[in-house]
Amino acid sequence: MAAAGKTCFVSNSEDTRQFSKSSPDHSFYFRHPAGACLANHCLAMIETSPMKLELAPTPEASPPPPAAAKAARTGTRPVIWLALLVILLGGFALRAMPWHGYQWIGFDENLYKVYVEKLDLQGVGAYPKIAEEYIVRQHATPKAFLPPTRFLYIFCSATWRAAFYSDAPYQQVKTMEDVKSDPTLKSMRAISALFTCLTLVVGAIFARRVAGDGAMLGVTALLACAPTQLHMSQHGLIDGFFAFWALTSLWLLWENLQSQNNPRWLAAYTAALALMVLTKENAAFVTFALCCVIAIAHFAKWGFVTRKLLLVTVAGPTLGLAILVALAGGIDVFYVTYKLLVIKAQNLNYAIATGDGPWYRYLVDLLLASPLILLLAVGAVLQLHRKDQALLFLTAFIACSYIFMCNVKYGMNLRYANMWDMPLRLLAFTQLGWLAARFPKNWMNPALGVFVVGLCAFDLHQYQVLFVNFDRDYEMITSNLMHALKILKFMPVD
Amino acid sequence: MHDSMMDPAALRHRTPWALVAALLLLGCALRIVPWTSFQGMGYDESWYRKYLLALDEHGLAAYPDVCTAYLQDGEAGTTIAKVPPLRVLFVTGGWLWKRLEFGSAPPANLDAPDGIARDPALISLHRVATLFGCLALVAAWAFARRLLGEREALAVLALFACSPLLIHMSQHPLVDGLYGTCALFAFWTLVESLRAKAHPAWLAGFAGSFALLVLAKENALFVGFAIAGVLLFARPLGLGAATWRHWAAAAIGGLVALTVMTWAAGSFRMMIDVYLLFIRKVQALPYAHQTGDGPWSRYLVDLMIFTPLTLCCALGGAFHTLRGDRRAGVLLLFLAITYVAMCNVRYGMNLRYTTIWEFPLRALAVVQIGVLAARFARPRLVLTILVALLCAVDLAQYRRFFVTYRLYELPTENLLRAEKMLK
Repeated sequence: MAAAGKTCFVSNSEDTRQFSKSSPDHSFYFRHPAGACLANHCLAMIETSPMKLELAPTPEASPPPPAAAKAARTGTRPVIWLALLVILLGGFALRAMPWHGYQWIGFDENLYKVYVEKLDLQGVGAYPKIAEEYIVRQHATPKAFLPPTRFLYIFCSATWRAAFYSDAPYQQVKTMEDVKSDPTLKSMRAISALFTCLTLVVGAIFARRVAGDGAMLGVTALLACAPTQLHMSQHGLIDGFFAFWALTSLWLLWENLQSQNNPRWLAAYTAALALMVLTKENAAFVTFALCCVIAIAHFAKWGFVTRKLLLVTVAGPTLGLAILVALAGGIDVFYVTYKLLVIKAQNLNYAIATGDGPWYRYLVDLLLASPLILLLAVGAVLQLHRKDQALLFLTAFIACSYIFMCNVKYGMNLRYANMWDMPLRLLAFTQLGWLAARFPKNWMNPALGVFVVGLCAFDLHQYQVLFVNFDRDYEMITSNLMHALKILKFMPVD
Repeated sequence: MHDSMMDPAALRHRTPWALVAALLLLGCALRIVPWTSFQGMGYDESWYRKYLLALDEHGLAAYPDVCTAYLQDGEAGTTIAKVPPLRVLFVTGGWLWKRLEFGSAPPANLDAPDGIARDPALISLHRVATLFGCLALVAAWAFARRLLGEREALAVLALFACSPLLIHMSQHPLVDGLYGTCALFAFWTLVESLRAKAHPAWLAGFAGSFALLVLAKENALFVGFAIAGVLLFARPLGLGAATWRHWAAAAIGGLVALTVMTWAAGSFRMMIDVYLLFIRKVQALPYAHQTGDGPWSRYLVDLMIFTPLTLCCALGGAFHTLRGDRRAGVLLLFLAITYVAMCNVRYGMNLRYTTIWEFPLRALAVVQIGVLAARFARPRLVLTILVALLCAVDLAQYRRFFVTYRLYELPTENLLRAEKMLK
């Protein structure tokens, strides 16, 4: 069956039939390969149920061909792992090395820095005091400050600081040299970079689980070069960190849908949801979106929607919420904290000026940031069939979270769309696969490879234009993107 | 008969004429009924009006003098770019309309209240733009019927009728709607003439509409590239074989137009000078620098802001076509060639110039909608609902941009401000 591995870039396994131009059904393209070996050899967490889709109660799903079982044992070829390693290392390097235009400390970064230093100095036990200070400070000003309830990022940064810069004094950032040397800021940026790297890893695993080895390589390469991911890794911002937890939760939901009440998957999913809630209040959108996806999954028969799954979907966020309440020092403080944030943010001039727009604002922003990826992904979404369950699952997540996110008044920003990077790239890769299938058999894999490399190069170019050449600001608001692309021009100063 | 085109005999029997008439009426009404909030006179309009008034005063024979005056005006380094008088079709069309409807009526005082609304020259230019906007509806329906089929043609007609850009172009004395219509006619007649045993009148129609296109606007060059592309790839696209007759028709159409323009300019050299001056001045125009720049994806961004759902559906249709559906292959080729040409014009990108894409985009959108609708038990109903939804969104977009926000010019910044993405 080596021929199958050769001819189809997107999957090396035998349950993937030969890609034929004449076949109108491309669902086999993403039928799950034998994923068990990844679990056996790499991550113990992923060792369950190798061929999930066939287990799911889908009336359309045909029983796996006998070859599939054999393929499950065959596993992924070493060269695939080697290629993945190279791509991952490339992605890590892009995230770890300093490569950004805006050199100064951002507004949000400054606020996180204060929280990190307070936590480092006073310990977790003093968190209620920090929350109370926030309320006092927020009451006194019309500005909106980010709340200390974004605990996990602050905690991780403080831990990094304690681990690597424990002796360094707290310092104010006044000069460019301070920005470069400040240990707190360096810790925050390290955490951001670390978690965008982890997003890459989770993205790779998720892609492999739903679409096979070829998709894993392609999607990981595309995600490695995603401009929005790279930008998040270069600054002390929470959104890349949050995207990791959101994507992890999404992946674990998929795994739970494919395996009936597996305690390990359920536990991991619960933990991911709880940690996501501990990260940022945007977790509400993701949680709602996941609930909607579960509902759709039930009716569309994408997997097993069990009582336990429903229970942990509620329990995970509740656990996170309970921890947050405890950290805030009581439910009243917690409630006031969020209430203040919402009220002040709605009246914040900056939010009004930059966070408004129509429902398709995110589409425009994504088109500015990664036009080719968006075009391919939109094209793919409209061509999905009922059998493309994994891709429909991802599309449903994007759609559901989109509906919530585009309805937040003055609250739209491309930063929040970081969690869509992987799903969009998987959809884009799918489209590329379909296009490559038009080539002669021997040219399919090289063509797909060239497409992916071209897209990666283009995305890196976009990053250079949007976030390196443009050095006035680090916010991903529409006007900044437009100015960076020279669609809008700054008026000359007289 | 080629696989990508419908059989005319089969089409005749199933045509729902009442629906076609209703949609044509709707489209015409949307174009004719004054609906825009912007009641002023744009910069380009003011120049078209001046050219028309000069012809009205001195007769059509004075066209070379108008061009000479244009060149003399451009000699001064301080003057900025103006629309060239060699957009002969629009200027003479307006002049003819003015003579027919208003005779030798003098121009209105533009400073007076309602002066702009009562000026015969502006009204005439406006009517010409509207007329061509309405004519395009017929071509869009007939062309879509040929490429996609009866039901899809109705869908394309509905979407085309509600296109915000085309409605806008019909509501003002602007040349771009006229240019888009001529391009559509040239494109349609070309495809018809490529059919096996096509009536020779189609070829004549192609030559004539191509001549009108060249007379409409200098951007005809982009459409010319696309037409050459279609002729080259006619057979792989399933349209039939392009023969020397098609090339000759294009050449004759172009030459006739060049002859008319040479006469209008006074000499061939003068015609070239007018265009060179225009290009030089536009490249130095601060407004063009400010609003016409951007990456290759600029038009996609503008279209996404302007008609998001239609664009998304058209993207789906484009990829569907790339995956083997040959029905709309010719439209995709047309879009690709003109897009590549147009996005490479330095400081020369503006949504107004995309009127030539309105038909291909809507036809591709219908291809996508048709594919989606075919998955349901009642595809006709689903198709109707989806098309109605897209029409509603497009009309809402028109209302937002041109009624609520009073937009006239269409640089990205204005679009963003209308949608409150920029404040």
